[in-house]
Amino acid sequence: MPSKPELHFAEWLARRTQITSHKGGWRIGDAVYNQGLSLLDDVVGSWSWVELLLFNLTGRRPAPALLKWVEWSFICVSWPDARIWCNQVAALGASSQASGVASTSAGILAAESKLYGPGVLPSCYTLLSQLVAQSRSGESIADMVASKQKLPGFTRPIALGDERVKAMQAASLELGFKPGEFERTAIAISDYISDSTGESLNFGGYIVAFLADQGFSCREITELYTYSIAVGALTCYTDVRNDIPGGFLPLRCEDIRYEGPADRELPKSQ
Amino acid sequence: MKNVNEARRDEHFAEQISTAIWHEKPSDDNPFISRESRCHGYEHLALMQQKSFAEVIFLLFRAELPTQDEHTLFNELLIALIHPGPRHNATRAAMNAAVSKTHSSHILPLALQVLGGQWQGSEEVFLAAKFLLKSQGQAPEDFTIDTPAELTTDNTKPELQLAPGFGSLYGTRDTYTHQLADRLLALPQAGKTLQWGQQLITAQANERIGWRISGLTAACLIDLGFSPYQAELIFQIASAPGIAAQAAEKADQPITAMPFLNDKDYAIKT
Repeated sequence: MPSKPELHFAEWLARRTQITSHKGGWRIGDAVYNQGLSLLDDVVGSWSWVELLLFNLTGRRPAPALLKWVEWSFICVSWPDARIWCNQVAALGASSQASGVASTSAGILAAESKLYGPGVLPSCYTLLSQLVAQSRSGESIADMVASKQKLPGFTRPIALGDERVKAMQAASLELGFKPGEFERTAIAISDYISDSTGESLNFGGYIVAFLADQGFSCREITELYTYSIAVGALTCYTDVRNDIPGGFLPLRCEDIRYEGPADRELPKSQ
Repeated sequence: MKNVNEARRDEHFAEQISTAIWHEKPSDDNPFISRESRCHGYEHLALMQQKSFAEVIFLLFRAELPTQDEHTLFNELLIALIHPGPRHNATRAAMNAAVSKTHSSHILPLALQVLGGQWQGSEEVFLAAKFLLKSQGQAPEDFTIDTPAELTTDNTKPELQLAPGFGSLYGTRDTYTHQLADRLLALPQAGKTLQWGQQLITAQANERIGWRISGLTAACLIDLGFSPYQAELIFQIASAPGIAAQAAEKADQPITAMPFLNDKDYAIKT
């Protein structure tokens, strides 16, 4: 074990004035390098933005079918409905005359939630990985479900069922994909619990299962959906931005129900 | 997959927002304008005249005004946290944005997002508070450098972590945070959590392990009755003034007032 104090901070001393990138960078007057490619010579004009996103997150250039699948999955979470929590955050930003960037990024932050949005994807991945391992060891579906206190990826707020799963399953078929081990396991769990609880595989669980079958890691899946709700949030922002300031769901004083202590005087001796 | 038709759950959502914190009483001629506001029953104008900022923050979160001893500990903690320092990533994010003329309204939000991390950030405060609540019933000696679940013992890693909020900073004990801890521990309101945290450090044979600012913050706020969730938010509030001041200092300076590395110091390894 290092004993001299300087050994403990040598790592930081070496990094004080330099950046080492494993992704790329700008060589002024030469090129913008992006994982060995020239961004402006090799990518502009032939790649889509989502293709570059996938490439930079994973280091792998996606096949055309996978690229379409990812883009369509983004559409599935682009809802122009300002009742959805993240979208309402963006709409409130618009109503306060905050900028589109501020309002949309606030919506993106809001969607990193434990109940919905990209924030649930890590727990979906963890659960599905465990279920796949249990399935490989021969456990029954009933035992697998009974072993879990929670089933992230198999419930959602507001509604039972998830039409987005059906839409993307149809799209997957059209693109030539066949369900892999994660998706088959997820479907088996969904079919089992839908009989008893009415719950079923939701969109988060589905995209995690599909992408895990495509070789994506938990971190890659989560990072891929960083901006996924941005179109919905920005759309809700644009819906409200030209309205009167404060005009989105305005509240009278009495619209807030006060449940706290009765009126009281400040203590004299405090 | 078995079909589960999408249908709204039979959930009862509140018809109006409720709160026990703030009571706005409507003016006679406009229901959207408040004629009187009260915080947990105390009149806002009276609080302005008779109480400090720290006391009213305490009241907002804890529902009662602090005692004199609680006020002293809370106020000194807020000042201890008032500036993460110009080297902190959150402060540097604010200065970088300010000098590059980012919209002023975005400075604190973007900096507080950076401050939200698990390393020297508010999420570490949350995790430290959870750790302290869970562990302070146990003997501090039980948490040692040999506790594999709680400690990184890999000597190739420059940072040591005993638990969230306890470990090294840049390789060694953070002696400045220890000065802050010594002051806070000497106050009458310093309670069993602060004492337990100090005993936890004393029990360690490795002198590189010590208080991190997150652990110290969490311990103080638990002793003052705050939850981990509240402790994280208080840390963000308390750190904002120093970050904001640093950004304001940079806002009117030219973009050259902050470093921009030369190509030779930007290595591309792809």
